[in-house]
Amino acid sequence: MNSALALMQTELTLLRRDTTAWTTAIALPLLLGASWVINEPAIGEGLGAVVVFQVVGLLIFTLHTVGTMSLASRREQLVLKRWRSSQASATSVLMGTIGVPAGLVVAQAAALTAITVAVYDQMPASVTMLILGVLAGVISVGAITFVVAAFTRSAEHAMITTFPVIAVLMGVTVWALTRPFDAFDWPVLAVPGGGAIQLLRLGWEGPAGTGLTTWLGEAAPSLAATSLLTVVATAAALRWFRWEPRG
Amino acid sequence: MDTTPNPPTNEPARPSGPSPVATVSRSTSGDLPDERPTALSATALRCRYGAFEAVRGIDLTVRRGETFALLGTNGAGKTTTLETLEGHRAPDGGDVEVLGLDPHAERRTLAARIGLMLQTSGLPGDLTPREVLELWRRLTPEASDHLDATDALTRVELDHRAEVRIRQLSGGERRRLDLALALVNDPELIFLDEPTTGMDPQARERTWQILRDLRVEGVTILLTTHYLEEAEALADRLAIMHAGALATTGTLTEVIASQPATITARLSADAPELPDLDGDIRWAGDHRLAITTRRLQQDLTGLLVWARTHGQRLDELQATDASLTQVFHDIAGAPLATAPGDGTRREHR
Repeated sequence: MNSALALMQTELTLLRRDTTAWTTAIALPLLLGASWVINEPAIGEGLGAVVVFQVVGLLIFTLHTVGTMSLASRREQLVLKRWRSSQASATSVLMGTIGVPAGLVVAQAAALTAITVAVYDQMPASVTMLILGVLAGVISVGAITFVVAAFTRSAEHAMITTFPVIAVLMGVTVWALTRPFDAFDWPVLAVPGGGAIQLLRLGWEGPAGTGLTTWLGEAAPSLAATSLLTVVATAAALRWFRWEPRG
Repeated sequence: MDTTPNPPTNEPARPSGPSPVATVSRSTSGDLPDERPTALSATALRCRYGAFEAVRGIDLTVRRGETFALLGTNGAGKTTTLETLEGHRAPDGGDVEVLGLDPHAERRTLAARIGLMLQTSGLPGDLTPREVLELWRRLTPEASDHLDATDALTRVELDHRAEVRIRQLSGGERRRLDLALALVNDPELIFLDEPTTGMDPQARERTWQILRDLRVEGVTILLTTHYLEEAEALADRLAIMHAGALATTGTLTEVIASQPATITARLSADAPELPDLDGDIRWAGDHRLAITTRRLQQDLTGLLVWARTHGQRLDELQATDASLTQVFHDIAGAPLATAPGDGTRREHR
């Protein structure tokens, strides 16, 4: 754990010193998220749609794009190999590398949600569901990021390899928000990212004032869908991820 | 590599026919007795990249406190061997043990006790040497001791560059930072993959001195290098790798002794028949004589006695022992082994 924290601190230092990564990971998603607060997206209704767009934007830019770039460039420069030659476990090295973008998503989501709440003076139906939604997005997109990084040769190559996931996430988001919210909307749950989107919408549009059991019942399909996606992506990452550049 | 010990002799018998000069036993005398415990060993080690077999059944033993140099041509399998010993990759065959541990299965435990100087730094260019060393201290928490980052940088004479971004360091400075990184966890054994590549002669000599000091402190060193003079300057024993096999192993003296010496001279046109010598005699134009022999003293004496007996002059007489360069070129220029897996008994002439 200490190794992962040490590597995260190092990654944070590197992020601070890399203007491109800093802009992509912090400035761009925050500006985009703030613009959706001012100009609500044309698709979907209410603040649920705003928050879904904000979080998906963070998952795309801060986590998926920056995470893929970091993993690919660290591997290309043999940094991953170097860290692996220490006492750090494989999990610590990977968490240390992608932990910063993942942590940034959580922090930025909290900041944007706070701004949204402040601007519209409206509280979410369930903060817990909202947090679950963000975490579900981070975990599932994080797992997918490892798969994409496995096939990405360099930071520049990431501009191409990240595109399919970005397109799918954006497409799914737009399509899901055109449908009336229903926690058991199986077509939405069946597509990648659908579980996280449903949890976020549940957090804003769910049955306010109900007990924990009801909330968990409503969240169960989304959590199951997210878990399934994460397991499949993790299995693929374990199969294809490499610590050194392909020969 | 330890093999069946041969009786030490100054004049190894010349074998009949093509000789397996590849394997030379280590010395049983001097300041590196065989009784010293083993630091690392590989037995019948094999490594493959798909269908290509990069390492073909080598045996290797390095003892505690020893400096061992692994020489070889490009693509000989040196780095693959080193990476397997470091635990970066699992062997495809054979057994490997480093400091009593399985380097692949017990990689994390081993990492606290060894130092690595990889062939390529693998350090982020936007960090400073001090930041990297501080990080490494945290990534090897179970090391018995740690050097302070400043001390580690001072040892490799890089303390004045402690706060400079790594991308601004020269190639030689980066190699010295790699060495500092290998030393920061006070290791028992260090692996150095081409440690002085990119260094100017002065920096190379300073690095050699650091490695000599480490040897005095009892640190075991396994290094790969392209520089023959580096192996000559540092190694207690060395091995030359070629095409995935160990072509020769031993002390410098032993390795050189495995090759024939040369006697050359120019005789008069009416010189009588030469005596019966052990070496191979070849004649060039202008009555020039070249004898390649594994019994230099005996054949040289025989030739001198013959010259005195017959009143012959031996103009331009030269007796030259084999050199490591000669051994290396002989191995590098030899055809590849025909029997894959016979990793320690490649035949060359």
